[in-house]
Amino acid sequence: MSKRILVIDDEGGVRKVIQISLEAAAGWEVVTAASGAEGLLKAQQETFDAILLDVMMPELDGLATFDQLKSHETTQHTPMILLTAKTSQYEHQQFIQRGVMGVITKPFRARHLVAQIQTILNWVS
Amino acid sequence: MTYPIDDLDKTHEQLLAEIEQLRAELGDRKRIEEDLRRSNALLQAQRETSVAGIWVVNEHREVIFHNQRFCELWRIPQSVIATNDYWLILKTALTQLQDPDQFVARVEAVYQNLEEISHDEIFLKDGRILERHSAPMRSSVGVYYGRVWHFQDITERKQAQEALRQSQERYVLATRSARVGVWELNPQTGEFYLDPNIKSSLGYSEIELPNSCEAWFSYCHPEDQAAVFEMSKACVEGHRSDFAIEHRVFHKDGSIRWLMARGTALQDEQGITVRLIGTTTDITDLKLAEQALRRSNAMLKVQQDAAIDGILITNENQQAVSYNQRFCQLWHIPEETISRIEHDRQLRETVLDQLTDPEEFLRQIDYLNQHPEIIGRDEIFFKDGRIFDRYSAAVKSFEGDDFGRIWYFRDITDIKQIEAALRQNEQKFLQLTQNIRDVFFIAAPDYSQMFYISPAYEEIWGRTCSSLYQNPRSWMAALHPDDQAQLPPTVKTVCSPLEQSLEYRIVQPTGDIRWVLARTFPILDQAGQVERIAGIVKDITDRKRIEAELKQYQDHLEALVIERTTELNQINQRLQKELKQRKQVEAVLREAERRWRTVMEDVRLLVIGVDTQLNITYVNPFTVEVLGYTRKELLEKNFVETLVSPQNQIAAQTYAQELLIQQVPAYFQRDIVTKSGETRRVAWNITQLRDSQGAINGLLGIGEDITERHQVEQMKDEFISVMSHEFRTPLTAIHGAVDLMSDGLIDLQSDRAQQLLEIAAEGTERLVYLVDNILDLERLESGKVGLVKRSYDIGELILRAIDLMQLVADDAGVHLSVSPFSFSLQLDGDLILQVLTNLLSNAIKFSPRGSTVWLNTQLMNQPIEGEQANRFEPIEAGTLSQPAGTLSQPAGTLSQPTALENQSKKLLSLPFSLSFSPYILFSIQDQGRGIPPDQIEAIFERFQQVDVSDSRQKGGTGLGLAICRSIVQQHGGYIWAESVLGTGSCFYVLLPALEPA
Repeated sequence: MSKRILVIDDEGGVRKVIQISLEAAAGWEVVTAASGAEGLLKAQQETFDAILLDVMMPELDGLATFDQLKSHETTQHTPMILLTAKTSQYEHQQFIQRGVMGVITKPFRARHLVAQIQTILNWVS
Repeated sequence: MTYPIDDLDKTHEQLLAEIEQLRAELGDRKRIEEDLRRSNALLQAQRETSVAGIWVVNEHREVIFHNQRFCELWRIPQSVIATNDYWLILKTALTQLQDPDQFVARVEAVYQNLEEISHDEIFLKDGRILERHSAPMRSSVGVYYGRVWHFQDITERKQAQEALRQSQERYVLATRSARVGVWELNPQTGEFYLDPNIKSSLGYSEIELPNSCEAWFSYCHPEDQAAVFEMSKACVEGHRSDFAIEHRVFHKDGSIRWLMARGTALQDEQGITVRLIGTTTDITDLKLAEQALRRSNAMLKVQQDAAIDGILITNENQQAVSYNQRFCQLWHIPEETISRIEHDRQLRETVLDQLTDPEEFLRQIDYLNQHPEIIGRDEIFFKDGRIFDRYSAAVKSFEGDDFGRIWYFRDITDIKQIEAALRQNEQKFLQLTQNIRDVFFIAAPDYSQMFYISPAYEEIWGRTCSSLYQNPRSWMAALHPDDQAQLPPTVKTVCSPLEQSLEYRIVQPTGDIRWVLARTFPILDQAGQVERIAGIVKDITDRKRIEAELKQYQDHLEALVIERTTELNQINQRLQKELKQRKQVEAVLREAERRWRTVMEDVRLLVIGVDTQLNITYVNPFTVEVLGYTRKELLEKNFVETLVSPQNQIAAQTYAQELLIQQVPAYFQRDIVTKSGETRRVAWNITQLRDSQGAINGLLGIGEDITERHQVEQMKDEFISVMSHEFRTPLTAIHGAVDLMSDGLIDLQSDRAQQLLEIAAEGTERLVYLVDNILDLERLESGKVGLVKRSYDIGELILRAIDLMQLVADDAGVHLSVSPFSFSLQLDGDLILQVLTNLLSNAIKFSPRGSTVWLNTQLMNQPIEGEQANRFEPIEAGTLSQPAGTLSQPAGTLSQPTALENQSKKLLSLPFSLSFSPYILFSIQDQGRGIPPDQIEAIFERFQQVDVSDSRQKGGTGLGLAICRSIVQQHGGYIWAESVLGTGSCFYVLLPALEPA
């Protein structure tokens, strides 16, 4: 069964690239949101198998969006993965300690993105 | 008789004649002798029968004759008289005399004067009086041949004379003292006799007061004459048989005398008064005495009333005759009541109710009344608690007659209470003195009497108290011989008025020696004289023993000290040497410490010392400067509590404890909080401090304030993080797009491929912009790019900037408003254009759609001094003299200035001191969200943006304003911003309008 993925990123180009990558490389259904607020709305309205969050977003950044998703009963069990351009392993550890399932560093290749998501979420290929 | 031998020569006739003559003489002599014998016999008879004692002594003091009466009178024993020894008899007589010397002297005097006929009296020891009469004996021819002594016992006569004399004397004295005189009147003849005593008592002589009634009456007081006359007349006329009248007469000295005249009429058989006789007695004294008595009674009454004692006088019949007011008060008897009491017993019954023992009261009264010789003294107890002292004595006349009894009553209730209190105090005193172990005594100043000695004396002195009472000085006998001599005389004799304290030994009868400490002090009387001495003697034997032991121990210690001192001296010498060496070392250490301290004091590093409890023990001046505290505020404060933020205190405490035991690295970076609350980043290097034994007793931290560097690193980290993100974001799009296309996942001819290509191109453009900005800023700040200044018209630059940003403004829906301006200035036109476009770009970026951005340019005057310093006002066109440039209205888009724009034309307050004028001021004003005050300066720093996310939404890297500032500063100008949150911001660029000379 195809996975439904919610991608939340303020960068339109990146958002598009990720959407096309996941659809083309994994055949997953991808829903995008251009802001943390939009992402929260969509996550609560629809069911997703995973949520990809960009860390650096204006107003409601990725971590704040993550916290709110975690506190909401409809979304708290949805696995979430952070997308970040920061390469600091220390910061990645900080993210993991907050409860995210994993951290993926930008940039990434499409197939690698899918593989990392599958590995993190333990989805059988 | 002898004849001389020479008579033998005479003749016979002569001899016969002589013999005849002799015969005749002999016959005569015989006759004479016969006569003489008869005479002698007669004389002898007379003498023998004479009542007088007769003693005849010849001229040779030979006893010729004595009669029996002489012997009887002089009680000469027969044996003595028989000796006829004048001197023996005389001696015998002398023994009976009261004054034998006078007797002898008188005798001798008589014998000396042979002619004297003496007559005197001799007083014998047995009370007899002899009359002595002595006459010389002479012959018919006058030849002295002795003396005859007559002695006659006149004792009875003398006694009678004496009695008579005394009687007379008594009579005279009596009459004189009684001033009584007799008088007699013969009414028939009118003869009047008045006793001379009366006359003399009145001071009159016989002549002055003759014996006549008239004369007598003339001296009577006029007021009494009639009464006396009538009384006398009544007796004379027989109306009365006697009379007695008191009347006054005038004394010769003019005073008045009172007389009591008594008279009795002597009547004949017919009852006719033939004589009046009587006595007159001077009763003046009596009258005066009466007056005095009345006065005395009155005074007595006053004294009685004033007396504090109640006084009652009862007569011999036990009736109350006198009392004073106090008596009534004491006995609660109203005066009107007591005056009606007729009998003493009634008085008693009135008061008996008040008494606790009325029977005893009555018994005592009766006893005293029955024994007037007894002076009563007792106490009376009342039911109401009062106590009276009763004193009673009999009242007697001078002759000893019992007149009654006087009773004194005094309320001694208070005295009794005081006595009871005194007794109680004395009891307490005794209790105290009986129980204390010290001897307490009270004695006379010279110890002649011991008034009190406490029982402790027996224990300490080993002698009885009674022995001391009997012999008050006996305590001194117990003094140790050595101390006897040492004691000052004041102890032994009179006590000094000052307190004394002495230590001495006493020897008990058992031989035991006790040490005592005697403290004496004088008790002074009201005159300040020492009346008694009191003292306390304490047994200090134990203390003395201990002192002796201590002394012994002290001596031993001193010996040890001496011994040790010698050792110490040797050690001291050694130590001196070591000290010298140590001083040298210390000098070196001090210098090292001085250098170290100088370093610590002067170094621009934080130096903080703490103890094992992390209390600050040392801070250097730089630390004080950085932290903002005073040294005093820091010392002894806990480092963690004072300088570490609350959320980090637990970790800091733990780390510090681990540092103390050297479990963690001693180099680390930690934040500390200043007094103002500012957080400073410090790179610490910690050293353990140790004491002389090597034990850790604290930490010394040397820290470098790396706050700015840390901030810069943080900013750099942040920038790198931002840059990383900025680079990676477009790279993600590019990389992803290219990867999808190259990986065959996307049909290259599809619309998706086209989208991916556009995404890649856009990302590439973004990367180029980013790289250009970074490179521009680096070049500007490194000085590798120099200014290329030429003359530009400011207005044209402005218009060009407007042109460049117009499209962006249109896309953003923001209106651009520019005020016309024209001024020529030497500047790098491209860079200034870059500044203007950058500021316009920011303004457009942060302005909402439909808002306006104003670009205003002004030429400003020089600064005004004083309060208006740094406040500048715009210069009207044409008023500024300048070597180049014209002010004209350029062509271009003009719009009306808004209210915010008008502010730029007011007096402008610069946030810095300006060093040049005039100048050009650019102001770019927007209606955006505004800039928080804490970022108004920071936005000009590298990599600073109001919001980091602005770099994605708004574009930009946070380097634009840093680039603008660098360009403006290189032109010698200033750039700053002012903002109101929620309203908008205004950025100012100020450039010098004239080239510096």
